[in-house]
Amino acid sequence: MKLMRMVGSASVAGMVSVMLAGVAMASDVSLATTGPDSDQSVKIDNSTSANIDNTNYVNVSNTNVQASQTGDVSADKNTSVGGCVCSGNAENTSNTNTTVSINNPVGGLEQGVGGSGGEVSQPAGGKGGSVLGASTGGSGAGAPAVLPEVGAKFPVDVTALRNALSAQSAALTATLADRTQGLRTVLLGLAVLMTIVGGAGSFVYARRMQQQA
Amino acid sequence: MKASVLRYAAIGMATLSLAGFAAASTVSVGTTGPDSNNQVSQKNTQKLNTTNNNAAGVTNFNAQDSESGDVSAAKNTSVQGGLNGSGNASNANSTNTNVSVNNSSSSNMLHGLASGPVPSDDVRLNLTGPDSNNQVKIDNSQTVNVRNNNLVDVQNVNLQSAQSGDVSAYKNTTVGGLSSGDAHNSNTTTTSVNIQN
Repeated sequence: MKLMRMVGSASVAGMVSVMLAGVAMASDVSLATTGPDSDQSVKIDNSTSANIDNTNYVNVSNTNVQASQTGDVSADKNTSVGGCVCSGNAENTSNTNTTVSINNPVGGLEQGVGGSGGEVSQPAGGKGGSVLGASTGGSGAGAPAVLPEVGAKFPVDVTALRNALSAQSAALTATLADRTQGLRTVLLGLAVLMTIVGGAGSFVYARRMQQQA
Repeated sequence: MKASVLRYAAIGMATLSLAGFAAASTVSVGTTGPDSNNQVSQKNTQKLNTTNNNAAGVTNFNAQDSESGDVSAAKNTSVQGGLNGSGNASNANSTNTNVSVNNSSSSNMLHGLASGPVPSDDVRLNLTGPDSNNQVKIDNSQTVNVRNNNLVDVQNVNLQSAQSGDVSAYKNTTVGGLSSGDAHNSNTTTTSVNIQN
């Protein structure tokens, strides 16, 4: 009997917070011919934020139970036995191929630079993110600024991502584990039962043949 | 017995809200009176929320059993091979599972925000009066929240049993060329899971 059980479980949680501060908006402020002792105030707040929260749970379980048995050959009390009186071949083959691909792309965000004048407040960076773009704003012409591409575009370090697993994804993982636990137990029990039944059948058959002999 | 079960339905939920589209604001304050108080407050808010919940469960269960019959030759003058053998017992199974989850449209929305048209604010104060108080406040806010929850569970179970029959030659004068067949199990399982956020 060949028993092969492979369980692949990958829980990946990626949370990316992208905070774009001081912002992709052009502002034009013009003050002209103001009165004496007058008070002019212009305040422009520009803020852009982007939050991406990816929680990926992938579980692949491969259970393979194979049993092959060739028949017994007996030649007893014959006058002459020649040629092949032989048992056949017993062979089990199994080929398992599992591929899991998770792609959480980050990057390629572009923003324009603000115009002239006014007060511009720039919010601080986002929560817990690994991506912080260049902060722009204030005066200047509207030349575009390109945020640097940061973070894992094709995340392969599952361990690092798992370490960053949030409480929510942990709860989700626990739920899945509980949900599949029953099935795994049943399958394992079924495999054991088949083994016992097969052994008992062989034993009974052997006893019967002995009695006939 | 072979069964494939899709245990979870894919659930897609998307919420999209647009509030206070961040269009361009134009404020013009001109020719204000002496000791006047002029205040302009403009708030532009654009907010996009998307949640994708995807759950896919696949169970492939394959159980196969094959047995060939027993052969017995007793008290014959001559028993020779050829057809006097137990046959082969063979099982073959192939399982191929592909699960693909694509939430790229959500990230495309994020890129759309970043590369979209730029709102332009135009504020002009001209000819304000003496001792006047002129205040302009513009608040532009753009927010995109994308949440992707993906759950994929694939269970492949393969149970195979093959047994060729027994061969027995008893009390024959001449015996030759008797053989038990081959017992062969073959299984191929291919699983592919692809998640694109």
